[in-house]
Amino acid sequence: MRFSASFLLAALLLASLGAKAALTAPAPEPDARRFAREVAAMLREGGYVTRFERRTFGILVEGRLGRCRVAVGDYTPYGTFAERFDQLAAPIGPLRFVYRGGFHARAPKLVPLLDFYAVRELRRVGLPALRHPIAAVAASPGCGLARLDWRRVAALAD
Amino acid sequence: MATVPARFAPRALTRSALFAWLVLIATLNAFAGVALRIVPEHGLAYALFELFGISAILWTALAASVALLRGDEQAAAATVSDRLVAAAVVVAALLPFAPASAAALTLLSGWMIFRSPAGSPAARAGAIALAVAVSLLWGRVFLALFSGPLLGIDSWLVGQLVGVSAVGNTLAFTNGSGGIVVAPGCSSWQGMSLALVFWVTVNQWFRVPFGWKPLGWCLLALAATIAVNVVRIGAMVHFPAQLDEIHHGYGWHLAMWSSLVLVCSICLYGARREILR
Repeated sequence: MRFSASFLLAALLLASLGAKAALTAPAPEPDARRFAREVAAMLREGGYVTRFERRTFGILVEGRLGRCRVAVGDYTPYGTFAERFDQLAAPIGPLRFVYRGGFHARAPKLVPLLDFYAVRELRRVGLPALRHPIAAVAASPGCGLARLDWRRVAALAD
Repeated sequence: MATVPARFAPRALTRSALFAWLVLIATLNAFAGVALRIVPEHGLAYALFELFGISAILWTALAASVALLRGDEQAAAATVSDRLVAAAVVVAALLPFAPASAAALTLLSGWMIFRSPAGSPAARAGAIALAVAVSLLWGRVFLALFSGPLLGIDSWLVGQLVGVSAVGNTLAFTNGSGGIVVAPGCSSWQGMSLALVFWVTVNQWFRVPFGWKPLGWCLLALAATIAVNVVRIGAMVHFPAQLDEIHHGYGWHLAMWSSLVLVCSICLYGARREILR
């Protein structure tokens, strides 16, 4: 029946919009300081001396251990600051990326992006969801990055 | 036995009437993702003035799609398959995730296009709805996935215009005092997806036959949005002291209105023969 079907669809429209208004809120921005703190703690556990440097893309964590120099930043899945990271890495060493504990020569894209969208939508409705940041890592040769506990920054609850 | 006046007699829901409701449900729920962020951030008055953060082009496209379907007098009754699609759209809309509604709008528009006679109101409305879904969801995903080369093209164009070097998506200020990074939100591709929506809307509404000429007008509208955005970013690079005003102050408003006027003028002029027919 046309009238009842229309009323039902109008009610569903109002209910769906009302549910969204009631359940969703702006998703909290990723906590750059939390990422930097975890990276610094991981580097210190590996014997590095650390310092923080505020940059346009967030906080860069620098570590030194003897002749070894490391710089780590939070790399957005959009890859917006790819050139900036390349420039920062140039005087240090090759730029690599660590995602969920695994090393990548190039920034991973599809999986981190889908994960980013999923986490953002879950957080908008107040569900707990861990963020999986991409760590952009520049290191001088022979630093032995694999010995560090990258699981510390594989998933963050910020 | 009681009789029922004819105007109150139950009638079967037509496909087009059902689709009109579904387009409205899916699109408004997809819009809600942006709209519900604007209200708490800036207040209701600002949100109203800014059309809830949704481009006037998208509102126009929604109105055109629904009007085409509502005006369809020849539509057949909704089939069981149509009702299954309707159920999927409603379930997606009831989820608290706006992108699910944009995905459902894609499914719905595809169904309307491929399961309706070519040139019918449902097929034309479906084409408009598909363009809206592309702008709301798929265009953004495409830009995010290929942001490197796409933002690089924007930056290269600005570099050519202003005479500065572009490295990837970074541009140096002309006075050498620093530089900017072109982010996905500043890309010409955002405006291009809206230009595409308006071109599809005008061409479907006025029944412009598809061909090289209309395609040329589409390309011109796309080029206009790129030109406006390139000039805006070029101004940021050339006048770094006014970066903030150009980025999200008067420069942003000027660029938005210029793009809107240019895109509407080009698309409507391109369809003038059909409009004046």
